[in-house]
Order: sequence, then C-alpha cells, then structure tokens
Amino acid sequence: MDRFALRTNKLNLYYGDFHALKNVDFQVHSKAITALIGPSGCGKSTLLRCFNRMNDLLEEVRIEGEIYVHNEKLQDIDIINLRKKVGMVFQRPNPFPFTVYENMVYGLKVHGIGHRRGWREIVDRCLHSVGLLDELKDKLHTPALDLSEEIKQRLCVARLLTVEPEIILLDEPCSALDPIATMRIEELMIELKERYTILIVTHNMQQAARVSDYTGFMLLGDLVEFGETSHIFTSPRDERTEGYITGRYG
Amino acid sequence: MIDRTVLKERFVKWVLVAFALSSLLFLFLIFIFILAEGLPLFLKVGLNKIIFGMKWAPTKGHFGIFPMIISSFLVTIGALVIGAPLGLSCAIYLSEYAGKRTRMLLKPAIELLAGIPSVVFGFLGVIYIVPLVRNYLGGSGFSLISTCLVLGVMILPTIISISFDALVSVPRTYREGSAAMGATKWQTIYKVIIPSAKSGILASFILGMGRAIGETMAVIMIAGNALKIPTSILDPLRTLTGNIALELAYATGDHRLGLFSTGVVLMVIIMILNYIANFGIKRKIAK
Ligand SMILES: Nc1ncnc2c1ncn2[C@@H]1O[C@H](COP(=O)(O)OP(=O)(O)OP(=O)(O)O)[C@@H](O)[C@H]1O
Ligand SMILES: [Mg+2]
Repeated sequence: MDRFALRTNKLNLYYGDFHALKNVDFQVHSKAITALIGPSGCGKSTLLRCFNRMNDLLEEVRIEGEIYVHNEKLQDIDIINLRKKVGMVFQRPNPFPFTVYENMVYGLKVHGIGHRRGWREIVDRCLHSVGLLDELKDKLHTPALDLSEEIKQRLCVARLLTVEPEIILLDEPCSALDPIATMRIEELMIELKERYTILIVTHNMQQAARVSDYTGFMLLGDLVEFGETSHIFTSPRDERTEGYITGRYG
Repeated sequence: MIDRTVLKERFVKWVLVAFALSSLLFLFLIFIFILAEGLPLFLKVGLNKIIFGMKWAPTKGHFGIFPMIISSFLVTIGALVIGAPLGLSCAIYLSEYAGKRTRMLLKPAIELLAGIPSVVFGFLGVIYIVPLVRNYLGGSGFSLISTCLVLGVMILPTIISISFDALVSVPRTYREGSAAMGATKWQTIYKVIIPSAKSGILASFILGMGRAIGETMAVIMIAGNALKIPTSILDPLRTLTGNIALELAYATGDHRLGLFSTGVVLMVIIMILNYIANFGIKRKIAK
C-alpha cells in the first residue's frame, strides 16, 4: 500500500475572484487520522471538499494543480466511483427523512451493490462498526430524523461504510454534539482508522491533539505547517502555528 | 391623558379588525345562504334521489345529478392525469436544472398563466382542441377528452408553483448528502428530493383537482353539456358547475332549488379536497 491515500500538488482554488486555497501541498497518510485545523474561513472545508469534488456543485469555482487519490489523478477517476471511494460526513448530521433502514441501504441502491436479500447483513455489519447495532436493530423501520444528534451522526458514518469507502472525510463532525457524544465519536474514529483513512476538519484543537496522527494548520488559504500531531502541538516550526495553538488568534 | 397618536393607532387597529371580520362574515353568509337554499330540496325529494338519481328534468320533478357527479369526477381525474406529470416535470426542471436566469424568466410566465381568464382557455379549446379531436378521433369534438386537455393545461400553474416551492424547500444538506454518497443528479432527485417533498407535491395535485372541479366557463364551452354519463372519451358530458351556470338564469321554484342542491354537493366535494390538501401541507410543516 502506498504511503499517501490523498496528496495535492500546488493546489489553487478560486471562488470567482477570491483565492481560497494558495499553492497547497498536502498529504493524507493511509490508515491514519489526519486533522486540519485553523481559524474560521481559512479554507479547511474548501480543501476537504476538493477530495470528493463536492466543490463541483458550486458555480464559479476554478481549481488548478493536481490531486492524487492513491497515486491516481483525481480527474481520471469518474465522479461516482470517486465518491464511493472517498466518503464524507458533514457538520450537521444529515440522514435522509426516511427510515433508518432506508438510509442504510441508500448507497447500496445507488451503486447497485449486492441483492436486496443480502442487504440486511451489510446493514447489520455497518451498524455494528459504529456501535449502533444493539441500539437500532429493533428500530430499523423508524424515522431516522427522530434519533438524537449523536446517533444521527453515527448513522451517517454507518451509511458511508455500506459502500466500503477507503477514505472518510469529516467536516467538523462533532460541532453539533455535546461533549460526551463528542468523546464517543472520537473513540469511533480511532477504531475506524485501522481500516479506513480519515481526514477530519476541526475547530477544536484538543480534538485534533487527542485523535489525530498528523495535523495540518491552515491560515488564509495557506497550508502553513504540516506534520506529526505531536510535533505540531509541542514544537511547531512556524510562529503563526504557535500563535494559533497557544490561542493568539481564532 | 391619551394623546392623539395613540388614539389614531387604536382607530386604525379597529378599522382593520372590522374589515378582517367582515370578510369572514361574508364567507359565513355565503355558506349559510347556499345551505339554506340547497337543503330544503334534499329534505323534500330525498338525498338518495338527488345524489344517485340518473335523470335531471327539474321542471318534471326529477333532480338526479348522478351523471354530473360522475362527469365532474371524470373531468377532474382526466385533468390530473394530464396536468400532474407535466406540471411535476416542469417544477423539477425549474427547481433542479434551470439556471437562475431561466428560472427568473419562466416562473413569472407560469404564474401569469394562472391569471388568464378561463373564458380565454375555453375559446382556445373551441377553436383548436375541439376541431382537432373531431377530425382525428371522431365525434363532435365537444367531449370528455377535449375538456380534460384544456383543464389539464389550466391546472398547470397551480401544480407547478406549489410543487416547485416544495422541491426548493428540500434542505441543501439532503442534496449534498446524496451527492457525497455517489448518487447521480437524477438518482438524488427521484430517490431523495421527490420523496422529501412528497406532501407538498400531493397538496399541489389536490389543489389542482380543486381548480379543475370548480372550473365552469371553459367547461361549458367545450364539454358539450349532454345529460348522461359519458361512455367513451369522445362523449359529451355536463359537470356540476356547468349545470348551475347553464340553467340558473331562467330557473324558478324547485328547479332553482335543485341548482342550489347541486351547489351544496359541489361545495362539500371541494371542502373535502381542501381539507386533504391542508392536512398534507400542515403535516409537512410539522416535520
Ligand atoms: N461557495 C463559496 N463562494 C464564495 N466564497 C466561498 C464559498 N465557500 C467558501 N468561500 C470562502 O472561502 C473561504 C474558505 O471557506 P471555508 O468554508 O473553506 O472555510 P473554513 O476554514 O472551513 O471555515 P469554517 O471553520 O468557518 O468552516 C472563506 O473566506 C469563505 O468565505
Ligand atoms: Mg468549514
């Protein structure tokens, strides 16, 4: 297996005239957790959304530079397979307004995976991976919107796992959750990194320090510093990084 | 001491309250009036003989409006069969595919369609649809199918604008969530967006039905107004609304009361439809 699941080379992104990502060279190590931190508006979400081409939904976006997914050029992968390979969890849990089961089989339907009869097994396995099987196995046919925020967010992770992604992008997945739920999602991420590559955007520096193996610090569209989390938090090379983690901005 | 501005404020408020109440009062009076005029005949002739009676000859004591109930029903369903798929497709195009500029151009145009007087639709129907049906399908052209075609177009604005509102109010997070799972645009639309907007879309269909069943002028001009249950799509027919409009001018005595009874039946049907539509919309808001 190659070392980097995701890699960018001189990545620039413009929203119209606004230069949102500036010459970003960034790597995401396979089977590890990489965190992106930085003050609000620095481009963390923008960078994250490049990897599953979610920015394509917007008008007036221009992207220059290269992105590689396991050494394959992003543009060479068709968008449907890319999004199957690179799943995403959003800031606000966004299960569809259907039943738990319907949510869980959505990806299977979309990608035509397996047969209806075999789905139940996949659903159970993925709910088990996120620690929801006991909680939800009798509630499969109840509306997903009735669940608590934490369970919804876990369900969204489980929904991704059904299509067997390699990489999971999480954009501030805990910002709608209370501290205890946050802690449990963090534990989940640590469990998942044995099988998946994880890239997480977070506002919460403690969270980055707790869960991640590598950390990137962004400021105004620049990736200021990137390295092992322990290094970034104990002996940052750049004074701007130091300023941020000691609480001088943001 | 109360100064003058406070007095003025109070005065304005009471005037507005009076206006608001008067419109409610009018509605109530209309309701009472129709019931008062329509109910006596039900008591005299019998509910069964009116609603299920096959023969309408009010001057000879026959008040059966069953053929008209069936005709109104057929016309409404037919209009929906034509208007619903067209209207929904159009709403989907506007909310999901059209660019901002196209949308800004098309939406007001469609709303304008709602403002065209129904006599104009009837006129166009008589000039174009009726001869077309006569020449290509047969019969006189004044028929069930012509009526359904014209009504199907007339209910488009209702269906399009209400379905459109339902579709655009589906949260962006659902679209993003679906796209991020690798769904194509069409998969997202028909597996996520339409099911999420379901109750609003259904409400648009029901309100469209209400419009179709209540339509009078265009229907009189195109339907042929024959007093029997149509047995083919080329047969002429008479609806409840058509019956009232055609005969009210010269009806007296029990005949007149018979027309009011027709009105009562129509009103009850429309109230039921509105109730269903409101119920659908409310449930959606509650979610
Ligand atoms: N669709 C868009 N059109 C124009 N500008 C945008 C768009 N999306 C984001 N931006 C701008 O790009 C910059 C980076 O946005 P981004 O959402 O990536 O920041 P972020 O680091 O994720 O911030 P936050 O922590 O608040 O989520 C911001 O200045 C933002 O205003
Ligand atoms: Mg963000």
